[in-house]
Amino acid sequence: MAIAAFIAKRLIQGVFTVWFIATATFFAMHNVPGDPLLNERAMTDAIRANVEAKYGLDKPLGTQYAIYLSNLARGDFGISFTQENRQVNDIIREHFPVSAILGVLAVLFAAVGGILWGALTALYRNRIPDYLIMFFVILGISVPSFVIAALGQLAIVNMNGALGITLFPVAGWGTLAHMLVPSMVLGLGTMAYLTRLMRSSMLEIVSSDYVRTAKAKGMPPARIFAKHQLRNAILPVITVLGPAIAAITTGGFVVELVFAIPGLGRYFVQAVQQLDYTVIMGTTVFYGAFLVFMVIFVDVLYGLIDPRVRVG
Amino acid sequence: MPASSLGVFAVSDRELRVKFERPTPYFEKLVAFVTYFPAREDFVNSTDGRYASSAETMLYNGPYTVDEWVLGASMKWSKNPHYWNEKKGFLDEINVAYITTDVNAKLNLFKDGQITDTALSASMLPEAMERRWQIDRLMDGTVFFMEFNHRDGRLTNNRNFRKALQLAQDPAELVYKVLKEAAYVPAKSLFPGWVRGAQDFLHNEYPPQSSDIDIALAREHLELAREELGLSEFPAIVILTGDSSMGLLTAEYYQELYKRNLGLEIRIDAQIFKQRLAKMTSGDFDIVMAGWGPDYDDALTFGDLFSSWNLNNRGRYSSDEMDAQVRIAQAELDPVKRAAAFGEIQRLVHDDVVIIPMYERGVSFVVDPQLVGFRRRSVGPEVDYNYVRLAPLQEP
Repeated sequence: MAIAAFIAKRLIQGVFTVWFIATATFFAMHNVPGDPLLNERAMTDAIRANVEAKYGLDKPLGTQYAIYLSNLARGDFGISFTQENRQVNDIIREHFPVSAILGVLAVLFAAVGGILWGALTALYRNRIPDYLIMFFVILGISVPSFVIAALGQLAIVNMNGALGITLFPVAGWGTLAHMLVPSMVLGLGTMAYLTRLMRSSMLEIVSSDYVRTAKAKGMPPARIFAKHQLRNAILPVITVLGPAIAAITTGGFVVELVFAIPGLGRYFVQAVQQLDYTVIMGTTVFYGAFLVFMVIFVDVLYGLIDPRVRVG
Repeated sequence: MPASSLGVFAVSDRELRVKFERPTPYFEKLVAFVTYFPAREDFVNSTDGRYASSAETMLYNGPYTVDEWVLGASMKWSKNPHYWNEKKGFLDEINVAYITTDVNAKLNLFKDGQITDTALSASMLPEAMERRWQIDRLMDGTVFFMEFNHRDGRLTNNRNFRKALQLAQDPAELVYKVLKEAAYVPAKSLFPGWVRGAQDFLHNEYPPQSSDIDIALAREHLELAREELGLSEFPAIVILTGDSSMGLLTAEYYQELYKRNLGLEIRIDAQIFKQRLAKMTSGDFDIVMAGWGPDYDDALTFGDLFSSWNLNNRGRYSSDEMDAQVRIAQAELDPVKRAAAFGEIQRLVHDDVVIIPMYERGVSFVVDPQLVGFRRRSVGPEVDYNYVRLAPLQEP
């Protein structure tokens, strides 16, 4: 039962956090210079009054905030300013699953790769495989994703051209073949980061007392690796995984653009550029809630892996 | 305004009667402008506020129907079996499989044979030529210019000051040496080159006033402006521009140019789109990098821009002479006299330096040779698949 109380407590904290995000975004957004209703073609005062009434912008800011909060409590984000007649809820419902699938694949790729490469570099410390992998890790951390995305796409085009068939689609969304390259591109930076984390964590473990004891007992190296080293070294990686999932899922803007993927990322970015109030609010609060949830989820997961931090 | 006072009546299901306030010789062009398209009230009301936001909530009567629309991702069109005109709509299906604003991604898709046409930016042209692609060009209709703030108390309200800026620049240098976009052409007037007069292109009937660079004369005008304004030295003036690389490049070019030629200090104010519009509307600028594209296929879509009552006249230029000419252009039924009014507007814009034209924007693009009849247009929706047919593949 202790775990349930723990989750309940964290969830209440989470709701408070989301309320804070919503409030901060609301007031920050209304203080950003620029007028969301302006467009290339000017409008008369009468038309402007109509449009303001439609979006509730004619009311005082305090009233707008109250209306906004009550709508939020009912899960209604309103209608978009720039994409006429589209509900923000619809935008999130249609496009978030795409971002989520892309994100989950990217995280899987990053986590499996990061843990594996990180463990390898630690085992082969200061030898050729270590140097080689770390070289690519530095590359993966320092090269921005739009470069990797463009290069990845170019590689597909050239490969398809050389083979004479479309092995991987250049862009688009739908099948697993569509998802493979974009999710690898998206996960690369995180994988590089996780590799470094895993390496340093593993190095600490390799020279620890209990590993030495296990070796002295004559335990097979494979068993030591799996049972003692990996399980202990993986903990810091798990900690950053929650925020990493949220970061990857929200940070897919460039990859979504280059590979023409209908994810939520581009709405997130375009809305800010276009001062689309409702979409900014909707996506920010939604992603905020998502991040809070992922952190709680990882905290619970952490307890399952490491009995020492289990609560209660 | 109540709908009954509008002067538009549906006499029967197939007859529309419109009462004009004044003669409107360009009315048939207006009704081809998307804003004037009719909407079916009962259908719009039945969509529960979601009209035209998905394939199911749209109503149209073109040669193709929209069967599927995943917003921001893809669309599927197919031949409209009820369409009346057999001269349009020859394809069974059009698959808009990718929607993205990334020109590089589109180029890659074109190379991979996934799409039939794509725009080419300047940096892509060498490769396109190497591959011996057939490169086409279209003027997209928009003209870009430096618009002055004519409000009282602004430096740019002084005609001699504006004249000096006009004489100290040459749009050809901007287009050919700075922007280097192959599809752009230097602008000569408020009216782009493709705009028609009475019988011919307006530029042929009323050639734009020459705008040769003359720095000595420009300095004379600047000196006159200084005396008229009673200044010992000009304060820095502000160029308002967008935050795109093209907007910044243009603003920096003029900053350097006017420093060199006239010794003027210019401050660049780069803003996101909505904030640039807010500053344009409130008059918080001296010069703004602006552009205007056509709404409908008539010279008036550019011609009435600087009438004193036009809300898009954000520099608040106001002159009785201009207003009189715009009124003629609005209501004159004789096409020759009407073209003369546009010629006069063109002269006024130049002589009074309402704006300094910079360039007409164009787009380079490549189309799969199998696709015949593909069109891009300067007015209205740009890409037109109405007349597209598939040509049989030719063996090399």
